[in-house]
Amino acid sequence: MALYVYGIMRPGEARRAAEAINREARHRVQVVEGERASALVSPMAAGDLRLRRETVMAHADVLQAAFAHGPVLPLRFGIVVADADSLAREVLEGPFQQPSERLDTLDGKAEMQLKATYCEEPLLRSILAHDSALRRDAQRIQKLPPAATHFERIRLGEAIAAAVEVRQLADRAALLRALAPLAVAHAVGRPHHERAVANLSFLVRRESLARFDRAVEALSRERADEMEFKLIGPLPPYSFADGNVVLGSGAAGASWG
Amino acid sequence: MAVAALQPQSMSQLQRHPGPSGLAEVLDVILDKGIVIDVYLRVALVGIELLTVDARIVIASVDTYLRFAEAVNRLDLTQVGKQETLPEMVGDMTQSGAGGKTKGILEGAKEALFGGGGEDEDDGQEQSSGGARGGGSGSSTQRSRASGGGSGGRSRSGSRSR
Repeated sequence: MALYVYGIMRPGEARRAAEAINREARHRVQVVEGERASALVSPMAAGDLRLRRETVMAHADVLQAAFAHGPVLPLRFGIVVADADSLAREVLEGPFQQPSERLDTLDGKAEMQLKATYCEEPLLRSILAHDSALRRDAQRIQKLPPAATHFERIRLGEAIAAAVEVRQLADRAALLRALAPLAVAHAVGRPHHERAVANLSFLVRRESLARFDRAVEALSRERADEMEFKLIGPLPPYSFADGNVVLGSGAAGASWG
Repeated sequence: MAVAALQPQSMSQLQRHPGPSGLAEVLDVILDKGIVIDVYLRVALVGIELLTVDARIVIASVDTYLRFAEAVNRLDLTQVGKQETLPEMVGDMTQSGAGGKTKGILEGAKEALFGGGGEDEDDGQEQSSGGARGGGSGSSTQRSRASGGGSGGRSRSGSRSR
């Protein structure tokens, strides 16, 4: 039977996670056991390998719930295997490099995702205040009817978008300078918004979570006039499962490898 | 601006969420992340694909430009040029003087924007478009590194698999 695969855990923790998830009856999950690593899966009806909205929510829900029981290697959303045997043979015991070692490395660490977004009006005001040519263009266009200035408006908007990108570079670097030292590793994600400052993921030790939170809080106060912050987590290490990460500058002594 | 800089204990604009809520946010949190294994079967996404694109791909387009221009149009521009430039510079100095973490940020932005430090505003703006373009390409470099772990699907290319 085809199986949807959520993630990989250490065997004992996978069993406990599956029991807890099934007890709460949110989702039906099963465990495919390997010797040193097990997978959390759900059976999929034969001939209906389609992923729906519910699958998306279940993927995040199951991993989040499992994460309470031990380290989790999240699989990418949408992975379905033919049967339990091939999963055990080719993934848990197979060519996939030592899932159990990665799990040990991730033990006690969580992902925090931080999205910083510029507030519209302060951003535009600041850009115009620093660029008198743009300001003159904007003032001229303002006095003319929209229909007469369509292309000028596009050019103005384009120039502003370019100025926003320049700001992003500097501000993203500043956010990273402040927060990366508190994390074991970090990853820079795609911009989440046209006024995005940064979309950052940090792998943080559990004992450092409070300190990390305070640092984000301090940044958000410091930048309250110009940016909004959204902090999501603690999450399973979605951005750090495959080891392809940028080491944090405070990673000295970190066991990430 | 200057007032806010002198009062660092202003309200913060921080929302905290223990986990993602809602489909768009979940997609944003999980997509293109996590381990890929070789043996997976081909599956179909039902009703997810379009939403996915909406939720995650931010493309600088004419729509974006017009939105920016529209937002600028709503500003009272008589206030922008005359009154904000000076307080903003004062704000800079206050922040760097206080040894705050923002030191260097605005300088960095200016340097990138104007292609070098030390110029005052009116000299600098001649070069602003060139500087901005340079900054733009720098940022796409960063982005490609950021998505290096994934199979693609960079924001500009809009590619996606499966």
